[in-house]
Amino acid sequence: MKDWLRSPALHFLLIGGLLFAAHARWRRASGAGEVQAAVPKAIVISAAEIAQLRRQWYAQSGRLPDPGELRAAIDHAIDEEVLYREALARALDRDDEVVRQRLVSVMGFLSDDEKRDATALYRAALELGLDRNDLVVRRHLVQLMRLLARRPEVPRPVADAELVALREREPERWQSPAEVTLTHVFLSESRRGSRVDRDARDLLERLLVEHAGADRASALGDPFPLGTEVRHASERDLQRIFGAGFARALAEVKPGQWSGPIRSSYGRHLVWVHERIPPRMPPLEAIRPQLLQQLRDQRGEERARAKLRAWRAGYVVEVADAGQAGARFDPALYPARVDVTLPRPQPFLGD
Amino acid sequence: MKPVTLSVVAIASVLAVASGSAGAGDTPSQQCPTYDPLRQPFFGDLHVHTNDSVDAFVFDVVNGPRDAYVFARGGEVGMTPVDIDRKPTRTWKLRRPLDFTAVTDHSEGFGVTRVCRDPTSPAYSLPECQLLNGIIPTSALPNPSDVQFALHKTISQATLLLLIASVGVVPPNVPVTCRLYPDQCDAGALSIWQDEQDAAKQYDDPCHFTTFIAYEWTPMPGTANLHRNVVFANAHVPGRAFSYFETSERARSEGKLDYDARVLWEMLQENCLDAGTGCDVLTIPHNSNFSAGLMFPDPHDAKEAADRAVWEPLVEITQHKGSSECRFDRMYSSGVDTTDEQCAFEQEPSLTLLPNQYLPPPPPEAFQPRAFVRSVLKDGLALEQQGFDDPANPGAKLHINPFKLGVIGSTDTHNGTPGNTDEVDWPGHVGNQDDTEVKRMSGAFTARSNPGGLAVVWAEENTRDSIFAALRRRETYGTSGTRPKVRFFGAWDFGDATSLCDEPSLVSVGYHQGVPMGSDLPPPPPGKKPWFVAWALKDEGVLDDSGSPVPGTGTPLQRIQIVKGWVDGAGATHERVLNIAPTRDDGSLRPDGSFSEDVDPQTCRATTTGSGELCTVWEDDDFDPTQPAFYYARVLEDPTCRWSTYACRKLGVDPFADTCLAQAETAQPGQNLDDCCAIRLDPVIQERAWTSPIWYRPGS
Repeated sequence: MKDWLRSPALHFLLIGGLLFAAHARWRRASGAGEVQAAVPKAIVISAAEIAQLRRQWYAQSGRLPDPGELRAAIDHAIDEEVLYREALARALDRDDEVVRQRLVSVMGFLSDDEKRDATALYRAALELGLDRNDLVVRRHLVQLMRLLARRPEVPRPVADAELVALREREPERWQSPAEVTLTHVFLSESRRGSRVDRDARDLLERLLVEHAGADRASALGDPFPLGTEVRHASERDLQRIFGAGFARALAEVKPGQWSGPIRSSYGRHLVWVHERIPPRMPPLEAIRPQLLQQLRDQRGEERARAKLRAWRAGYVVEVADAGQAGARFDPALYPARVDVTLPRPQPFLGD
Repeated sequence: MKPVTLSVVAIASVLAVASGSAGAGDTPSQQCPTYDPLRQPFFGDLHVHTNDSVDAFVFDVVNGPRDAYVFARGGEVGMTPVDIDRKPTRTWKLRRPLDFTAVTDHSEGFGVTRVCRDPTSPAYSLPECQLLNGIIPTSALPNPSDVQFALHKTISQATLLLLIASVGVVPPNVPVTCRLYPDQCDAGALSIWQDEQDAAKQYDDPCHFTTFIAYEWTPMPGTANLHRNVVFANAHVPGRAFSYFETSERARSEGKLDYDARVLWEMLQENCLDAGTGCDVLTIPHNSNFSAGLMFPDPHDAKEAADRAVWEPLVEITQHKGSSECRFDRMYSSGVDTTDEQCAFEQEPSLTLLPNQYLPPPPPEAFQPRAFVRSVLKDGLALEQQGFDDPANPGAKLHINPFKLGVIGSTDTHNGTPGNTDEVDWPGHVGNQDDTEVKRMSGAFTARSNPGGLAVVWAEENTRDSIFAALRRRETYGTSGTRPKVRFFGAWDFGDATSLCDEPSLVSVGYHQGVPMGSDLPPPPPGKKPWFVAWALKDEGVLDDSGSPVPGTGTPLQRIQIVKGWVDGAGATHERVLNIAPTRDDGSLRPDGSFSEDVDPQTCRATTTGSGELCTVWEDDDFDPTQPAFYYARVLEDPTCRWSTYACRKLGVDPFADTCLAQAETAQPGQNLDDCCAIRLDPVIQERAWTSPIWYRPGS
């Protein structure tokens, strides 16, 4: 019994087994992202494909793309192809559950034999090369590669100083808006008609001469359903109460005296501004999560762009002459919108 | 421990718990700097669907709950059509942000929604999920993009109809996906509900913008609409959004009809009101116009009457699928229990949710009066007068009004775009079903739908507690989409009532001497008649990017009406509608015919302009203290062009032209645009506001 335990063969098997398990775990952990297969490095955008892009653009927007828009669409198609091939190079489709489910269901639709189980269907799909043609698989792999491109090689901690800098770069985005507290006297256009301007000027003179306080002044004006005191109102609040233009006109008014008349959707107003509160920057702690999110998004975008550029540099791209493809596309033959009813069969142009 | 010390500790801990949980809201303990004790109007949308609803995501809607909140605050979100990568090709934003909103996705579909959008779920490859996602194999097709799109839409639409049918039968059919994978479905439903809560929490911004956690309970027996929005007051909500599937199962076990709302209330009572967490909740019914009268049935007993009065203090009186105040059909020159021609406003040609896309509409006799809120309010008075048997005192009656309904409006948007009610460029209601003008004008039902309305509350500050309290006490009004500001008070004595409209402290007098909209008048002093003051400011208007006023906003007010309903001694109900402002010079009331309903086709503005502000005080000379009554104010704006007029003009058909029908034939080949023409569909509307009623009850 004990001899058997000391047998080198057993130790060999055990050590080998441990190594194998460790390698498999390490492989899975770092497997995604490692290039494992060779893919063709030539990308060709043919005239037919350009015509297809034109057709899609027309179907969505109801007009033909201008040269700049077409170039952007072609560029986008090249980026997608690069990402797709990089995904294949990394064998991202091999262990992917989404791809597997998709191929099983497609094969299930196509297959006559109802008895085959998921594994058999999956293998059959691979044999037929369905994974190479399927739009859903392609879209999914492109999406995975975009996510991969955004990931940092090594997660970098974020310093407070960076967040503060981000906050300072776009103050209007983070600041609470400027606010104003005022009392106003209302002269109603409905009640006074064309007299309202004259009445407003007369009343202003009277208020200034009498050094009238807020209560006395309100009694001299018309009743206003939303009250004559407005507290801590932002520009948006002023717009809601008085309509557009009021906030801008108010900006000229100096605090501590009767001013006006200022026009609103309802008539004229004499205002006494009590206090103007300038925009305030919230403390870092109050907006830390949002700043962190913005920083992460920004960094992710930069990384993704750089990665895509690097990958694309490894490909040779050939684009057919767009002009040639365009000459043969007649929009009159294609529906402006894709409706629920099936389109009538069209001659296939653009070869 | 000595017994005395123990009891002191016990009392202290009870007090601590009581003060902690009583009225535990999410409002900061300090008042907002903008707090106004005389209350301010806040505009919101309490009926919003995002792609967490099955009948939104199958139509390519990309916006989730967070996008809906971003949109409500004035941010930009994507809209259909989507491209082949499911990216939206249009964006949209509100011209004027909202003050509050609630996302109300269909709880019945939460499980299916999560599971069928998750490619790693085993249920994902089931035919039901595949069909909902409109996925078809592409490798077998010659020209994938166009045909794929088309098939994708047809398939997903058909599958959705099957799902809808599943809540239309009694008992409702749980979707196949959830029958085969009940655990995944359940976990999915709980996870979506948690996500809705997280989204509401993320965007709630006390004093600036309020979100409410909510969902829609969606029974539709035989396509009759019995839907209600379940709106929670704060973040303490049950762990599960009780759907029609759960309540119907319980209803059957209690011997009730599957779609009995009492079961929903029971489950909410147990899991919310009685949970001891400070949870509070309301249920708000909508679209009674499609309920075949089943939304407001006679209560079985006093308990149901009392429950209904507490659980449902509000009704959503207008939204995308038509207006439910009352119904008048010009084609038949008659109405449902009314002769008020203003009840022709935004009426749909169907009895239930089964859309009637081909005219003629059913005649008024075919509709149940209880499908319309005004009749429900009247019947509520009659039921209260009749009384319900008092279970505690055999032979005695309890006089309870089960239908004391305050009023709000909302949109019911299925695009995740709350408050998107501007008529001039309405982009549609639900994803790829109506994202072009042609689609919106095709079909009698679709052309008669509308962008929806708004809910308005008078509250002290923009916080959950303050706004929810306003909803509970019914100090609310609904608009058909614009933003007039309306005050309405009732009292036995306003002092010098006739000069009240010149009184700067009118609002203060209203609150102190009288009661606001949604309340009950106190018992009358002998010989007194009630006075009502209605004060409305027009929508303040909004400018577009080039500085011109946006058509359909800032419209002057044409008139204020008062609608009175009452019950006589014999138990019969009556109604009267009067134009109380503006009056003639001698103070007498103007008849309907003296108000114009025309617009100038060039400008889409009324030929006779109304006012920026209307205020009036009215005494009910025909008041009879023995007769229960309600009074509500309806404010009509000047006529303007309907959304369909702008849409038809874009398509090359002018509703006002003599040659309209000829244009409708040829403008879009293959499309029937007859509904663009005035002979079929009114190109003019008068936007409006309806206040919650003020009730009078003869003294006990």
